[in-house]
Amino acid sequence: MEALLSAENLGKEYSSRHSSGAKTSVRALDHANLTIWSGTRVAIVGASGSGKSTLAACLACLEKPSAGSIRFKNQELTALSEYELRSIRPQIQLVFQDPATVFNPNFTVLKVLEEPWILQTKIAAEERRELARELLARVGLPRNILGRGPRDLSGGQRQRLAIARALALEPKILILDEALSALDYSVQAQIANLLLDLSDRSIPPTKRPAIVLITHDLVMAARFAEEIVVMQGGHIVESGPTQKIIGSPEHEATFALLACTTGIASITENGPVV
Amino acid sequence: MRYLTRRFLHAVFLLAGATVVTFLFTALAPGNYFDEMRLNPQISPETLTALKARYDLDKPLGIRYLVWLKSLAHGEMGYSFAYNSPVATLLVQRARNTLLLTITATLLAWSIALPLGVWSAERSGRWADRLVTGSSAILLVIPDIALALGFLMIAVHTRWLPAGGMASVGSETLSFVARLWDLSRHMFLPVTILVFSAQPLLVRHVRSAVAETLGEGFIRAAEGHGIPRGRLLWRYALPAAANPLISLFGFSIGALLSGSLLIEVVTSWPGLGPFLLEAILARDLYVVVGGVLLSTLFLVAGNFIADVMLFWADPRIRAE
Repeated sequence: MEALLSAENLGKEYSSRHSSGAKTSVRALDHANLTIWSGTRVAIVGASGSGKSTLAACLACLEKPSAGSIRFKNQELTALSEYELRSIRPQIQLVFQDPATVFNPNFTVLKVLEEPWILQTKIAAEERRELARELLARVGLPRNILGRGPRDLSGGQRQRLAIARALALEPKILILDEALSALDYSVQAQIANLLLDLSDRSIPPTKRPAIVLITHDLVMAARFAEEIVVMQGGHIVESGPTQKIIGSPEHEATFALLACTTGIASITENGPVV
Repeated sequence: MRYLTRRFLHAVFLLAGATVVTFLFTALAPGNYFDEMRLNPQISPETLTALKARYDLDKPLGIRYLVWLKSLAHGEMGYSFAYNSPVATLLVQRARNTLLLTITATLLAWSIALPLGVWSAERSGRWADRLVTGSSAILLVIPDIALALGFLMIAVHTRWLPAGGMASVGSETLSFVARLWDLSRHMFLPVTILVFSAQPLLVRHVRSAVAETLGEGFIRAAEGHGIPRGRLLWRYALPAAANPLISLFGFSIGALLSGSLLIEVVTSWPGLGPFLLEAILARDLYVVVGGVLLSTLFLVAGNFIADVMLFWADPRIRAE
């Protein structure tokens, strides 16, 4: 396996100015080191405010880090201009938490899916339509919703559409930032299964995207990921194979997260036994 | 379609209501056009009575309204006491001049405000944005009259441009191109004043609507899909921010006849403004009612056009 994306000493500081003129800054990410290998499933877990989403946004090139480096296929991303990043971004796709706000309100499902193809390929309109139908089928959505607006879909369907849109670009990495949190349990399970199908071991590593699941739910992380990264206060405090993190945690943040779960008895080949 | 029909009926109802209210208010105002004639010893009371009867002023308000409606149906809108000719003919001549001024100014103002507002929104919080919002705030607090007098002063001192009117003396003898040039020179000053007075409000609205949209999730998501910044601004953010701007554009259309009144008076532009002012002072009843009706017609039409544009632009309204 090759290292797809690696972050080294990554830091992100947000500063704001009060009405009094005083400048305050918050360090959301500090000295984060992380490597994502092609075709793997990684979960980044942590409590609210631990820096998970900031890390995700930096990895997806949607936030410029204040310090450190990000390398994608051995290319340094932090030095690239906005224009140069445009060709990188489609390969690292981020699916957001709230599927209600991530679609252009003026677009239909077809327009949502075909927009990147219009801009980045020369695929004919009829072919784009067929590709969009195939993509919908791949994420378990009916093929006949192309003319509908995303607002006509349920929360779970919208999140599937968001995943379909991300897949339309055939990304190397798919990052889901709390993308399952807003959904009810049955829909969460369906989408988790969809993600497992997408990263099925029978697909060659170069053909399947690496999936990074960002969540505060350790049970979901343990069921889904091969590797877990634990964050606290902007730092990566612990990382390693899922069995190790769940079986013999070392950091207090991991203990705290484990304490919040209803209890994971053991990890088997089919996932954790709760 | 039901939405548009409902909006159309609403517009018709509003127009009818405006005529009734205007009629009522003009009737409640003390005195009429012929009252000052009573002081003139050369005009006998019988002549005055005959004049009032000729213009139906001796009839009750309801009858006067019905007679006026009949005249409206004939395309006359009543008779002007001062000009002794159908109001519609008089209004159309002046309205044409006003529209020439205001349509030019409105189109110019919007074509400057849109790119400037979007440009400023994209640089939200940076020096370019502060420059635009700061200068528009300064323009906003300057009263139109001060702006107009300032520009007039420049015109008079530099003599680069004519300071008033619509055409130079003897311009009728000029060639078509020369007349057009003469008209453009006369239009420059009032159009510039109108653009400057409309600009800050439009720029601020465009800026705030686009800036708000740029912070929304779908813009960030589209950015993550590698959509170019230009397309994000013009094809994503601006259409999504368009609803309040379309309503504002409707108001711009609505203000086409009434918005330039002051500027027309100051720059002696022979439009509807000075004509209506003169009619109000002389209590030329039907000219005032006609002027109000025409302005309301534009306001209602502006709102209706905005509704149609909203219907066309926003799938959520269509879905409702």
